[in-house]
Amino acid sequence: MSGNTGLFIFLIVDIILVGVVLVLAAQHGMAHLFPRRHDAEHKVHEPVVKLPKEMREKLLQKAEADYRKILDNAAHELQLDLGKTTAGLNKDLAVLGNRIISDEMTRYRDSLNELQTHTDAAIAGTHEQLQKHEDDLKSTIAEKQKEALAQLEADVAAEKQKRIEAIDTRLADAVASFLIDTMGHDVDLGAQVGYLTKMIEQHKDEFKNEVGNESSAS
Amino acid sequence: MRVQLPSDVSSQQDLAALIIEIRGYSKWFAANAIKARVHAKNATPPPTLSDGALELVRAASGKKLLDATQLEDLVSSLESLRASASTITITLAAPATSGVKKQLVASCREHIASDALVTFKFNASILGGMVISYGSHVFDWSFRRAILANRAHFSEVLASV
Repeated sequence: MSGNTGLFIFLIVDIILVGVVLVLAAQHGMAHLFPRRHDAEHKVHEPVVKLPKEMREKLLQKAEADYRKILDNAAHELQLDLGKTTAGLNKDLAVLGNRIISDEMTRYRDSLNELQTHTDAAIAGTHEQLQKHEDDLKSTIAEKQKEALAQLEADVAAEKQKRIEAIDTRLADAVASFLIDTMGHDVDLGAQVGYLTKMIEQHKDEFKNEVGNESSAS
Repeated sequence: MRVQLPSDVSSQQDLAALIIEIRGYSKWFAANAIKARVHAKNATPPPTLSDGALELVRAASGKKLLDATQLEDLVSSLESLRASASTITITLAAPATSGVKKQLVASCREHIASDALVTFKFNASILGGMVISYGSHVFDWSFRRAILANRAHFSEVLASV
């Protein structure tokens, strides 16, 4: 910032100097083009000196040459100053540009670093979430698989038990049917009398109770 | 009068037949007594009594001479017994012989009720044993029920073989 201000002041001073030189050059030019009025103004106050024409011409040529020389020197110095100024300006502009570029690059790098940091954090978070989700999915799948396996085993066991019971039932039915068909054709009651009287004797109390209840009800 | 039914009188039908038989005998006895009083000569022979009826008549007279009143009392007692006796139905796997009937009736009267009347039925599908029913109560001691009831244990028996 201070560099910019100094450069600005330096340019202002150069412009003022150039203006002063241009004004002086313009005054000298006017005095040279309109000598009568200039002389008339000085005629009142100064005594008129009569110079010979040759002398006068010579003086005029000399003055013109001096003026041209001074003008050339001033132009040369101005050109040099302008060159120096241009070089300084170029240098300062280069420095300023480099500094600006450097600052922008620094800011750009900082922004990039910050963005990369955020991106890395976001990627890490996403990766963590993905890992967590993957773990959850794995645990859920394992749990579901375990439940399904347990259910399958239970179903298989139930089906096995059901088949076994069905086989037993059908086999028992077959054997019972066989016994019924076989024993139904030849019954010896005489051999069963002992069993029948024994059954009556064994269940006499139960039967008496039922008979008593029936009698009291009727 | 307390009447002990003979063992061959088991069912309501047997008791009804017995009552008819004794009532007929009572009528004959009364008619024969009147004839004896008037010295009638055309006396009719007594009706033939079954062993059970004869046993009851002898039991009713005791050691005294039989008279018409005793016979009427016997008939009344038998009718009263018929009305109040417990009727039991026994279903067997085959038609019961008289010996089997006597044994089962005696067992029922010994262990269940002394005046029980037993009706015998026949159903071959019960295979063996018996089904005793009284009123709405049924006691199934048949072989068929035993086999079917133990059908669930068949697998255990089969496994132990």
